Amino acid sequence: MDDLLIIGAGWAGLSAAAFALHRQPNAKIRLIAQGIGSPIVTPGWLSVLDSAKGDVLAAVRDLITRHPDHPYALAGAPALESALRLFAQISTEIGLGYRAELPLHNTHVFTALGASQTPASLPIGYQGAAQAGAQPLFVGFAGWRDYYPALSGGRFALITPPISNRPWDLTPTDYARHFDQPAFCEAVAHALKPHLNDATSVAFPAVLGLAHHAETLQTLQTALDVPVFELPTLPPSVPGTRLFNGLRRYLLDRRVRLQVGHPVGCGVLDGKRVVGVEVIAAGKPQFFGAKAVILATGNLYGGGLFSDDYGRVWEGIFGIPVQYTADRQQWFNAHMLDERGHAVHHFGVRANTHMQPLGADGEPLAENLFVAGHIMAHPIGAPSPFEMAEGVALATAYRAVESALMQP
Amino acid sequence: MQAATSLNCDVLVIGGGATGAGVLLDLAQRGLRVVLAEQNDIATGTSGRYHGLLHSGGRYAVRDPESARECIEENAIVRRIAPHTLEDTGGWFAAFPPDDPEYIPHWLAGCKAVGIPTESVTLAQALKEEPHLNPKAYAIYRVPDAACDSFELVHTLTEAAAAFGGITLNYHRVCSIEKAGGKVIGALLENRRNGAQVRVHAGAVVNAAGPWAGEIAKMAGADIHMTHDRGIMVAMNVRWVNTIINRLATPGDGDILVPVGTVCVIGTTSVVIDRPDDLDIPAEEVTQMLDAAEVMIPDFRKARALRAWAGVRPLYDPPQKREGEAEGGVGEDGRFITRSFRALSHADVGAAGMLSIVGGKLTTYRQMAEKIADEVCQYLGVRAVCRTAETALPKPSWFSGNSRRLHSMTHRLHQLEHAPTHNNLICECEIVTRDQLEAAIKASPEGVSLDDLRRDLRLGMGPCQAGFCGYRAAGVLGETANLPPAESIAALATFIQERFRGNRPLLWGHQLRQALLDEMIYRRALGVPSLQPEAHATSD
Repeated sequence: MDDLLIIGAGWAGLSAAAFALHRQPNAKIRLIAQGIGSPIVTPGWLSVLDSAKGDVLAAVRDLITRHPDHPYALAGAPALESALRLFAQISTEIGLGYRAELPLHNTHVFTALGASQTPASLPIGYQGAAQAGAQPLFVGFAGWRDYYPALSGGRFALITPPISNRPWDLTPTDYARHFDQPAFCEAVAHALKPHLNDATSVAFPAVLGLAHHAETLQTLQTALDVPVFELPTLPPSVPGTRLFNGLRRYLLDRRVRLQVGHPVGCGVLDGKRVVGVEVIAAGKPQFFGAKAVILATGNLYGGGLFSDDYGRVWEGIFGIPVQYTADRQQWFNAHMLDERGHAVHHFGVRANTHMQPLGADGEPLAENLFVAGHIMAHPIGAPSPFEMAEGVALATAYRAVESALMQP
Repeated sequence: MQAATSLNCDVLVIGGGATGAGVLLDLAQRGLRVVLAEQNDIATGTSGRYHGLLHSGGRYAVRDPESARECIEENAIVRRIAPHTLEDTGGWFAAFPPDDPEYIPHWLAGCKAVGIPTESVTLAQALKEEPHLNPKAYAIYRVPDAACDSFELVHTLTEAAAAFGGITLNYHRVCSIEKAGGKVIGALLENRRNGAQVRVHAGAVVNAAGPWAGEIAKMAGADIHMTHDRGIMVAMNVRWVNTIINRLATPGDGDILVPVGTVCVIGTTSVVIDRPDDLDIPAEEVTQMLDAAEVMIPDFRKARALRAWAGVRPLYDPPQKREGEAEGGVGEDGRFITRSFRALSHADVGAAGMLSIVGGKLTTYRQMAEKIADEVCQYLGVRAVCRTAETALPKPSWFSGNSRRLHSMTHRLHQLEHAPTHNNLICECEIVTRDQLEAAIKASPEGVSLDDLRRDLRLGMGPCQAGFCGYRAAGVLGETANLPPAESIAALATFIQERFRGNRPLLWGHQLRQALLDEMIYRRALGVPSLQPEAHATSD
């Protein structure tokens, strides 16, 4: 029997495990997940409320007053603030250096298409964008299918990396592993020097090392003598993979039981209490008992919610009722990139301020079941969940851990 | 706007679908000077928006014997002259509960009357050939259906016509039809890519604009009665069957299942609409298709729906016939109108020499073209016989032998495995390499869109629906065609929206997850600008 069982290994699940450790270092914590969650595809920066101008937390407090059912409102502004502070501290311990100094202001990063995004907190790879200067040089690898520096705008260079065998069908992760080798970094810097001219900074696709990211950044910066920064790539996301790997190591080192690749089939309840979950395993389902469970399996994308062509949406493990629109015609607007987003982004389960998911009667489904992350419904009319993806995950995870560890 | 250039020809054909391309070839082969004008790319109207079935005629055997006879005659001819556009899957008509057994003797008699060969198949044999078939099928007959690649067919027709001097102008819109002395004398076209005007002087005009035929006729002052009958089709990512399956019952919704390449297409519906460009796909029609397909293939829904599209059947609906129709009528369901075609003359409005083609279907394109070409020749006083039924169409270099029994991926896989330097996959779902993409871009005119490239290469047509390859293709397009970054990015934004339009009615389950992933990539990782509708309209 574990003290706390967390389902899901995205931003919400992983940080819930880390937060729980900080709260109760001796607690028995288990994290079970079907696979690596959202970090593997998302850019790896931390969006709290991308559209906020000025103090981001003040903007979140304003959102809370306008949308009392919003996940931020249910978790509460103090939970967000504490979560950000603790996450920044843990991320520094794992070498990724997300910053969250107050007052928190959104910061500018570049994308591969020359667009500007404004998340609240960045890992070290993206931080150099602040010193990009007037003449950033965008660097790509000749023939590589996953980054085209000409589309980033401004000046660019295509260099031929020292990879002799099939330099094309490489994933971002493959490139990152090459960059982990100092000789490779130096060769890249050497090839780049003739293109530098009066560049004020150098931007690479986000592949600058996996296990030795900080050293890679340092090596390149020293060799090129200008700020170096990364641009998000097509998935797999290397910055997200660094975070996943870092948190995984962090949790394992502190004796959290981590089972990734184990899909949970269903929850087991005894009246108004969850007694554990059944994991789909060879032969027969495997039961894991727990005093409290945090469900952080994500939304329709993440894999916590399911849908069919009849327009039904359901939660897969505990059968928690989902708040959604039954008319499938209404799920998406006509344009994919419609600035208003889509109704489907807002579907999710309802919860109270303890993060207990609510049944059809509006009462908690079970006293020791909690939710965190984007499995939670976002009210229609609230800003797109995309612009607060990680902030919501952290705040709700923090609040769910607070509630879950108060269980007898 | 540039000054109009002019072109002289004997016949102007309007519409680059199977009918128009068929007329272009037929007349060019008879020695006439022919120009074809198409407002978009060729085969992008009804011809490119159907399920891919070369009919045996069985579907029309009971209710529309005239169409049925045309189908079986033309089926044999198309197999002979254009085997490379076909996949000789064969077809079955199968009855499942609750289909009415009483229909079967009528159907068999109808097939016999028009010469459609049928062969009874036992259930045991059927399940051996198609293990996914619903074992409750109680009567199965084999007919000579085939799957037809309409893009390949129409492209082949325009290429064959080019060898006889036939000119195809795609992306040319008709601005006006010109008349003098009671006769049609030509038309003014606009090149939609650069806005240039082209004046075509022609002795005769063939209006083969399909669903847009009414609009073209109106330019000549004529009012033709057409019914726009929309049918939707849904492609699944599993090729559930190797044989075309038709319901052995009165034609209805969702009763044709066609294996096409790597996918399987279920069609179709029949809803009368007002405008030829109303191609919206209601979610409930998709669900209706899946329900119907499950009657034939019980596991059908377990596959992932990849793409839904709608085509508009340009059916002829003369007012006098509508009044005289006792039962059934036209009403909501366009299926009661004959699928045969009519050629309407417009001499009564001072446009002698212009013929509007309404009705018909892809399977019978050649016969339609022959009849139209005969009339045109008669009008022009030209004596020349049709030779399209005897003349094989040019075959691509990869095609050998006489028929393609079943689809295989081996052509592209073979290329890939034997030319490792081509191993740079841009579209992983449909196996499109960078070399192929670059070659297609270089072979295309300036201003080629990613959607044009998609039609050539199948780029972005797999499960990810351009989530990954869209950005890559935009990057390669920019590098190869030397585009300014803003143009490559605009091309990407347009392509994303075009893909989403067909994907949107299919967003549930895994395909919905895929769309959310794609959206995350575009919105967050790449920051693709959202299209400004006005800007889009002017660049279109």
